[in-house]
Amino acid sequence: MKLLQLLLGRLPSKKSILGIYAVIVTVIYSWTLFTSFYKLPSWLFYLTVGKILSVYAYAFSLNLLESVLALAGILLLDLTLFFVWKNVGEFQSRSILLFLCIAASSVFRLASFGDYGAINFFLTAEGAWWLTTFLLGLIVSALAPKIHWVRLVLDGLAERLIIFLYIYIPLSFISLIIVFFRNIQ
Amino acid sequence: MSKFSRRDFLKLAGLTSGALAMSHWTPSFLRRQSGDTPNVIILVFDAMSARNLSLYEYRRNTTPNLQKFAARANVYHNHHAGGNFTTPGTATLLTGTYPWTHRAFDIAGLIDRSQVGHNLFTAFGSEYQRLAFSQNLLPNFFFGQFASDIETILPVSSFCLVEQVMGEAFKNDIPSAYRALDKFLFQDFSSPASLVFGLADRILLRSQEARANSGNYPRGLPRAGDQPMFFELKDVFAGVGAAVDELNASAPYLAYFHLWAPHAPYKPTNQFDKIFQDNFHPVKKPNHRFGDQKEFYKLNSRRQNYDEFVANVDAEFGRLIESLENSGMLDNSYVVVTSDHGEMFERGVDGHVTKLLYEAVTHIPLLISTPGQKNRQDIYSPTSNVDVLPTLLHLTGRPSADWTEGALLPGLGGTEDTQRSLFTLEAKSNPAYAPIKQATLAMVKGNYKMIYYTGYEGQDSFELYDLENDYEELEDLYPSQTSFCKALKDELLETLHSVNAKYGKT
Repeated sequence: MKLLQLLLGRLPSKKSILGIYAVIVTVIYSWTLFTSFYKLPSWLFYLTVGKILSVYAYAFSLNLLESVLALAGILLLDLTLFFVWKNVGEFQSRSILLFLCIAASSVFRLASFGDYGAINFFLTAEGAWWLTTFLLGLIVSALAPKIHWVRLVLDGLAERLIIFLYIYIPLSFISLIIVFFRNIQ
Repeated sequence: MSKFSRRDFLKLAGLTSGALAMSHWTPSFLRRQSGDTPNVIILVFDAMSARNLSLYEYRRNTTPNLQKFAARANVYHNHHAGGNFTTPGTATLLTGTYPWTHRAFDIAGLIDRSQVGHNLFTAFGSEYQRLAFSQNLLPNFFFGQFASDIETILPVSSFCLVEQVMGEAFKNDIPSAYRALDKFLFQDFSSPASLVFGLADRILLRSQEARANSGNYPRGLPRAGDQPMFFELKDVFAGVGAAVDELNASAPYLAYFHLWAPHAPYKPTNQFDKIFQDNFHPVKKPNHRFGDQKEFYKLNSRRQNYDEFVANVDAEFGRLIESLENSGMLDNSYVVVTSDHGEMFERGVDGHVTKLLYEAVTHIPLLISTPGQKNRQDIYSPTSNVDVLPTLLHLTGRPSADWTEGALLPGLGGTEDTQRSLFTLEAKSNPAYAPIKQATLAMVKGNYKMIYYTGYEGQDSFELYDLENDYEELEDLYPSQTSFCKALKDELLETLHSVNAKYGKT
């Protein structure tokens, strides 16, 4: 019970969590939209508007789930591994930096998949890659927020990106409804 | 058989049990035993061009087992697909209608709702136990449309070593879910649109693939295109054999198997890899204005890979037929072997995603073995995949389908008609429910073939070839403007005009 109280006491303000979530949502949804632009010319050529919208409905529904899970993961790390860092004021910028490190690593990793031969080589280094990413993320997120202007930039960024929550989240709920109705008998 | 995993066996056993349970929905007195009524087994090899089969006198010995099978079958030498890729080609086979009727001619298209009841499975009726399986997801969209008339639809990923198909989970919305999940959010040949799950999925899939390959496939495991499914050919054929084996005990059946191979990527086993490093030099054909301008030597290399994969498929086919023969199934079954479309390695085009409709991509194999047939019968008059459905209905004593645009195949109830016109349509860029304005239409009549390109950049154009004297379609006879040429052109345009009439102003 004491532990729970301790953990809950470590939780940052709702505003901070919202700021982190805004960054996560912006990155995850923007990546999906960015990828869709490569597909859109082909879709416009072959698919009707309804079919294209149904693709986005599935995409935004999944994005919502991804973003919630990503936020949960970051919060979990904050409550456990980051517990030793007691500066709650750095919570938001620290979490954003960690997420951005992992996201950047993911994008780079995706780009490095090649043909069959390259994949085998790639897979052998999988564990090392993610360990490095994680350690790098930890170091960056531990040290960078100590720099005042970095923290200011990150906090400002989070505040400004909150606008995307007002766009993407309602869209996601509409998407969820669309997916639901497309899948009932 | 060792790679036909326990999971696959359980999956198949479960499905078969389900099918048997469902078969009880039909009162038993309405079902005849398979001994009275012949079974029908349809094997569709995706992207198998007749032009690359030694069965049809291709120089490389790609199909010794098909040739062996042909010794007890009707062999159609001038058989044509309804389209140049899976969607229209398969829809034509399953409905006995041309793409302008079934309207499934765009990528991942569906059959027109008004035509859904006009299909092979419905036409065979509940007296037959009906099974459908396709490794290619596109025909599964049709199976979904016909689901009320198919007792067993095996999952697309059956008999795979590794699979992560997601769209299948959304049973009531498979086409959209497949398009969104498997072709976008978790796509494997370019960056997945899902940053978190997409990456995790890819790492998992590729790790499993690498672990699953025992080393027998030097170019990696065969894969169903960009679908996240990896398989060994022997497992797939063993699975088909097992599925047929299970069906045999209960009632007469119609079993449709649409196998991915020899569709790209061409990945044969060690035994077939590089077997065609020979002195074969295909005829060099000029690049087409709608071709991809691929270099000739690269096309030849791809052709060699394709031929090796075809030979590998043929070997497995031989094993399957042998097992069917040993179990006596060939004595009471019609076995149909065909394809949905061909494959091109000429005129700058590699594959079949093209506007072109040359014989390499439209000329497909058709062999039909009748129960207990002992002799080979060769048919040279032009035939089409629209003819398969009416012929099978005729052979099995089913009520004929007045909606089909096909005719009975010669040698199996029909007569040779050399003046009949047959069509292949490519219209993937044309809206499905609009007049056909941007398309390629090929019409075969007797020995001649006319190709019409309309709605693309540049002027509409025609080509005309004498297939008997110009097998490689090198000499375009259209510029000669003979009266025969004009008659063919008028017929083709009149046909297009009449099929467009339903969709308003053309």
